Amino acid sequence: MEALYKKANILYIPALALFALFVAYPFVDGIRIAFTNWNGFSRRFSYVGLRNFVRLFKDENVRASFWNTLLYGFGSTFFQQVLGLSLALFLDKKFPGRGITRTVVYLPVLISAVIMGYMWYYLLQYDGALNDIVALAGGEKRLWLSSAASAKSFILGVNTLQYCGISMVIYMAGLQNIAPMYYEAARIEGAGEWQVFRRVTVPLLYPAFVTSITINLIGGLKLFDIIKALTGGGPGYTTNSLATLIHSSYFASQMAGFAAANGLALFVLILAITLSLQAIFRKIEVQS
Amino acid sequence: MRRSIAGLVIALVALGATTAASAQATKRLTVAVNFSMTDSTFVALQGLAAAYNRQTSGVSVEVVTYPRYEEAMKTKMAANDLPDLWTTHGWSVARYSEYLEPLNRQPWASLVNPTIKGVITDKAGKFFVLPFDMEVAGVAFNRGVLDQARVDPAAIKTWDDFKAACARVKAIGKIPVHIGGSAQDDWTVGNFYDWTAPSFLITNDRGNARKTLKDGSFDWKLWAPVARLLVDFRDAGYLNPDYTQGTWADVSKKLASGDVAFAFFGNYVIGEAKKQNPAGEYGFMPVPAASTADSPTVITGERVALGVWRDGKNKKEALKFLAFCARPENVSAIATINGNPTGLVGAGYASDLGDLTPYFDRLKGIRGFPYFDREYLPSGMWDSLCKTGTGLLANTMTIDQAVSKMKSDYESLR
Repeated sequence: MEALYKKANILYIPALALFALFVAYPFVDGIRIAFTNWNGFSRRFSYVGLRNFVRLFKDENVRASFWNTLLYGFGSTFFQQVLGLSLALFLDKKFPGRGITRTVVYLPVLISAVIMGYMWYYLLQYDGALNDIVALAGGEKRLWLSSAASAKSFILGVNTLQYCGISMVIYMAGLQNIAPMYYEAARIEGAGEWQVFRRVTVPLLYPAFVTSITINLIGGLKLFDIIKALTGGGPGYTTNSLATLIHSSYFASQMAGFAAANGLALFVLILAITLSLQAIFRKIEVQS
Repeated sequence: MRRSIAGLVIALVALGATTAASAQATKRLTVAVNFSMTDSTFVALQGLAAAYNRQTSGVSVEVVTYPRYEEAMKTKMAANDLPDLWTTHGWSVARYSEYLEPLNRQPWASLVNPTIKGVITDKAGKFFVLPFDMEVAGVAFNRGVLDQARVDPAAIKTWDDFKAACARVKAIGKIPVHIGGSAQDDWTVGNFYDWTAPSFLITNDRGNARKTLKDGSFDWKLWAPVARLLVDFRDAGYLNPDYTQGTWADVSKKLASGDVAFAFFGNYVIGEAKKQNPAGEYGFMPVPAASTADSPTVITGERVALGVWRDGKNKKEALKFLAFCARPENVSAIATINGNPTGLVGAGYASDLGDLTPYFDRLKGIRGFPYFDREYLPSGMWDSLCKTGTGLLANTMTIDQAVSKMKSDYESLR
């Protein structure tokens, strides 16, 4: 019996079955669909070779969505680290109301991204709260989501604000793991606050950086809900990420084959970035 | 004690068996519709189902709606797991026919209104839906605003006339056209194109692109004037000031409040405006022509049309329910709610068009054309219309870019 367990632990079976059914099979079938001209609902389709993949390189919207994906991925990650770390450093100190402040910062993480997106969507309407405040201050009402730059900034901002709580929690856990003796030793040696932060806190927070950056980067690269709720990928096609473009190519444009090819490209992109990042992190870890 | 427990168990088993037997005897029919639960059409269809359930034993019809109806239906088609009946929102032939039962042999088949028959019939002569009503639409307006601006809608024949009317409306401080326009409600912009494109490409009998759009040889440079009309309206200040963030809900609200003169939607926009301001005076006029060489026209198409799933287990019962729906009183009731002519004709089929009657009367001799995208563009290009439209409105796309995008999508989707 023991030998049998060693060969195949039956406790794995439910998880493996679910993984095979909901991840492995759709993934493999998605690769097949990427080589077809299927419209997403008909029983009729034909295989079109590499046509969908060739289109990936030619289509202007794919190019724009690719750059937007990088912007949302790296941009959100950068701001989330800055904000998350600052908040963690601030909230690591003892002061009255610290618990409540931590909760308030973390609370948006618990809200669904779609709800968060719609809340901001209504705030940013022409007759919305933000314009009411602007009007109250004597300013002129603006169409906040009408230009590509402004709409992308809001997507980036909302995503950062919603998820900086995750980074904060990770960094706080990291800070609490740093033994006070390192700080004491540094101060005895005459290090100032900045030097303590740079030479003690940052190096010892390294594992927290790895975790937080990886989680936020993957989340940012596959950003979907906030874009859908806030701009729907518009105006035009300007704020689409690869994830929202996949959705609209599949359902609205009825190009399931192209959407599947796009999905594969996104998978490869996220995989390549994550693996590169892991390699960089390993290198830094070895050097330090 | 034991006896009581045994009695209870027997009673529960008996109750379970009875429920199971009754569930077996009652067949549940699902009717999926593309109207929200607060929409008057949804409520009316629910009323029809309730009436049918009362008079029929063994069948229970339930009307449901899905969030993101079109996406849900596409997923259900892909899985070949569809509701017993569903509304086809103008796509009974191009999108849904593969999964719908042909209805040519139904007892009411010969009564289909000849005006809509061509629109809902495929190349093989089969049709797949019961059309409750048919859309006959033009440009909806608030009569009060037009009177105030001294605009006679009957005198508007071309887009130049329309622009002159817009200038008059703007001069009295009102909004000439509410387009909606937000990326979230981008269908409102697609609708604008559906209304305006035919005047440039289809309606002129002396020169049009009807054939080339269908055979794939269409010169997409001809799309530029269609796109330019939208940009002209924007640049002249004829659109709602929040034209990149306006919603569908805003359109009827502003039309009802007398802030807006024109809206490019079917008569359902008037129905919605009436809900908010029943005292308002509304009407509609034919869509202007692109030049004096042509004449104004109206848009025709499916509105509420119900089809039956070809492979459904309850197909027989679904066809019986459809026959019930096809009765004169039922068809007339739905058509009346939408302010449209009935989809079936004959004794007893008549809708009460209410305040819109005089406007329908004026349509004698006016030519009708089907929805542009449904008839002349491949399925899937609706999104291209909507997205290029919002791109133009927000100035994130040039006219050339919009033309190029339309061309590439047309070529991919054909």
